[in-house]
Amino acid sequence: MTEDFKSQVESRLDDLFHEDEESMDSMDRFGGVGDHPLKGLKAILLSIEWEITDSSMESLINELKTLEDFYKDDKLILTFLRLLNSIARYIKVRRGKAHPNATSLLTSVYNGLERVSLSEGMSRKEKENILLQEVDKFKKLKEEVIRRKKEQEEEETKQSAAVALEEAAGRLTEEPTQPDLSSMTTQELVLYALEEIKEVIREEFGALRAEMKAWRESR
Amino acid sequence: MHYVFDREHLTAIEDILERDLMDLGVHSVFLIDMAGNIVATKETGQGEHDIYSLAALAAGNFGAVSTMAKLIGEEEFSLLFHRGKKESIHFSKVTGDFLLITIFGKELSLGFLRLKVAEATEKMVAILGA
Amino acid sequence: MAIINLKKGEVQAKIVYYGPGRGGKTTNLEYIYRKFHDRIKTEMVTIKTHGDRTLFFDFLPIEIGKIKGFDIRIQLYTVPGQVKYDATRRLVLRGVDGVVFVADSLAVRRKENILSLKNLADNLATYKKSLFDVPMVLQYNKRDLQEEGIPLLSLEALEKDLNTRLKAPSFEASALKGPNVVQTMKRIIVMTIDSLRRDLT
Repeated sequence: MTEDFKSQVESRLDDLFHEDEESMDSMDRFGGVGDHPLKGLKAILLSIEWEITDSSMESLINELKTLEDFYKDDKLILTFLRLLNSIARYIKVRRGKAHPNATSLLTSVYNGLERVSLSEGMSRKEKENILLQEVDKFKKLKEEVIRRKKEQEEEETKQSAAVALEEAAGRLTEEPTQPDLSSMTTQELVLYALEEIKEVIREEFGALRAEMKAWRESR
Repeated sequence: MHYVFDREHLTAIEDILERDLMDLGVHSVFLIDMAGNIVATKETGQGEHDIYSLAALAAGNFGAVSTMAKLIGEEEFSLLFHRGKKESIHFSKVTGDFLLITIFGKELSLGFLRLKVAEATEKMVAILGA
Repeated sequence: MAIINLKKGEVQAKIVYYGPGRGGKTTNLEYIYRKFHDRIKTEMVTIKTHGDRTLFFDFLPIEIGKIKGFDIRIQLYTVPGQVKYDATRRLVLRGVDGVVFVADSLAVRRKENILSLKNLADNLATYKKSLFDVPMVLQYNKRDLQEEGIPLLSLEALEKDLNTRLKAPSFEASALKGPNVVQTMKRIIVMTIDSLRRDLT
């Protein structure tokens, strides 16, 4: 065969029998982990792909804890596991309100972990690259989550403020028990009303901040 | 015997489909009855699907599988889902008379979709029961 | 179970063609589809066996257009006629709003017609419906075979076997050649929509 003919044949064979890298985020990409320490983790993640329950998320977090212990001397793998842990906790807390990409990221990070663990002769550099890619995705997800939360809070603040204003306005139209408004001048009345409204809004912000703090601390 | 949907109920249902599912990145969602009639649909794109045939087949499929469940001694199956290379389809019951059909791509995990479908279903049951 | 959508101004109703195996149910739909494909502009869905017998159902949606401000959509279905597909027939009957019973005029199929009608009654009963409260039209199919000298049941015999108590409208037809196929369909659609009339006004 001439070189040209050969390359044409090769190219044609490539075209005909091209294995596409579809469903990278499906867990079926790798055959089996056999008796590898990651076997348990893979099984749990496979089930989570099909159904998310409190108990499956619980199992996941426990399994990750066990594996972090097992791999405590391997910083690279440990980082993968910690990424998984962070995402898992987020999904467990937020459930249906979690960012839609969180569950796919779990699968993506695991696939990276599996490649790094199972591939014989992969260089340190390659392994780090894979890890960095996943860390990057994780960072992006985190940014999106924060952005979404901010938008939601702004919306809620606006609504709370609107409600607070309405309530304050409502209170003003009622007969107050004290102080004696009838003795106040109009100007004093307006100032008093403004103070009341400010106080209500201050209370609402206080409550919101407390909520945010509690959420941060639970993570 | 028939079901009448007024503007208010339909708008409420369509809102749920939009906010709980379409906003997630789902490609198409249909609320149909067990006879294969369409109550509400939301689709991205210019509606490339033959939605009437889809609805008829979906109702038939779900009905067939439900009957099989009973034949093997199960009350019902908890999951009816078909995975494709690019598009997948998920079926779930919303009350005994209605079905929610969701078509989505690889970007969405089934587990997460099921969480959202459960949420949306709860809201719709409240409306359909009314 | 027809769906009336007041927001879109649309009515959807389901009509099922029922009857013994090889009686002409699918042929009815195929005729309608062939003749009016350009006008209907929808596709016919069929789920068949290799032997070309209906396995699950045939489906042909038809848009009639606006009547009294409502867009009327009729979904025509057929059931598989073979005895072993009873569970499937029951499934397809779910939510039915109108029925066309396609009887086979062949003399040798007399018993099958009667059994099939009884089967329809039994399956409707599982949905707490009776033959008497679902809009129904009878079609005595294959009348064209008379010309070929094949023994057919007479109209009187068919009416006596199947329509004594029902007193449903009936048509002699040939689904293969065309006579009365469309008339049957029109009649059942009118009857079905009529039964929904109250909620449309």
